[in-house]
Amino acid sequence: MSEERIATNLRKGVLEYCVLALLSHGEKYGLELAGDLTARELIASEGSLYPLLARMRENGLVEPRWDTSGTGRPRRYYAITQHGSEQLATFTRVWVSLGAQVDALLEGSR
Amino acid sequence: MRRATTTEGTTMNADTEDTYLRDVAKRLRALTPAQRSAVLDDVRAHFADAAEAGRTPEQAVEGLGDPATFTRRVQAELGHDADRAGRIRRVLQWTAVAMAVFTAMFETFLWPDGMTFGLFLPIQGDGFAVVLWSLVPALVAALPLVVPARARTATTVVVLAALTALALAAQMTFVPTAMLAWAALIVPVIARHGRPAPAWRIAGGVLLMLPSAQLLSGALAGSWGMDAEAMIYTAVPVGLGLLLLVGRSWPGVVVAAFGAGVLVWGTLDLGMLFLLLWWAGGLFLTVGLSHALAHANLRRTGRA
Repeated sequence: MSEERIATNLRKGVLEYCVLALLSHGEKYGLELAGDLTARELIASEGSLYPLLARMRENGLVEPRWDTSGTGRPRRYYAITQHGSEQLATFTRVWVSLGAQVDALLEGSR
Repeated sequence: MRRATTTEGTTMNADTEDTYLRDVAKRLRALTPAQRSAVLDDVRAHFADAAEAGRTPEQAVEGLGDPATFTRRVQAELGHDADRAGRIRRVLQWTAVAMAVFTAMFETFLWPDGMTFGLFLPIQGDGFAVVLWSLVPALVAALPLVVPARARTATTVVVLAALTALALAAQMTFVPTAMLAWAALIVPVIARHGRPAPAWRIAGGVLLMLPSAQLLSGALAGSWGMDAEAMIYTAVPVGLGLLLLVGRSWPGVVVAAFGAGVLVWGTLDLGMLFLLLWWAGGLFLTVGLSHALAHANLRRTGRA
């Protein structure tokens, strides 16, 4: 399997938790979120972010809102929900333990 | 220079965005209204954010991907109706099989001696052999349900050709079976993105009125008189046809149930117009069921 293929498969499993982690620092609008994710090479373009947000919204992990308070045009912000924060905490536990196991294995195999 | 093109530029922005939104909305018809409008809000916000970041609408579209790819991703993420077309196809195909079995039972046990409408039974005598022979169309109709996905389209076309030839050339009682098998090929395609365009249900409604046209032309030609009973027979399909113009699922269920009733009634009351009644029943069942499936609200909660 190519390096790119392995990376794609792994990203697929963690992407929504990366979105939750980004939102846990404060709400963000779509393009901002997409920029953060593409900068970290987690997604290739916005085209895969909105479909993911659609599912996360459906599952109650994130919540959109139109912000009309500013002087400019209304902006659509995404925020993490209570359920989303709980899921992120669970993922963090799993990731730390799984990551440690995988690291140990990789160390041992050298 | 830039200022001079602003108006034109704004119009172009709106055009690109509107076209994209319209296309996405059309392709997401199978989603619930709430899901769809949330996705459209995302797209609208994306265009606005991109414009603010100095991107052209074309660049904004580039980021999202073309509407077909984008909506496929949305549907895949929502786990939504990925198999809508497959489900519609299976229901119609199974109904065609059931219809073939019902036809076979009817032909074997209820068909009165001496009545022939191109009835084709090469095996005479032994009742069991006749039953087996008459079940062959049902087995043929079931083939597309059991072959691997790769061979499905080819099998469906061959089966359709065989059933249509059987129904038209040899055994006209199998016309309803053939109609359902045709619906199993066509309806999943026209309803794959959700509710089909209104033209389809208008076409369905017109199809339902065909038996009325037949009755009317018979009356005008003097084959039978236009008494009160005949008038009811003429009015009912027209009423059902009009009912189908309602773009909801339930009128289809009503029409399909009526069709099934007509089919059963046809077998119990074998009259001069038996074939007309039988075909009308098959038509109501096929069009009604197709309409109900194509307009069904396939709401499914997201993956937990």
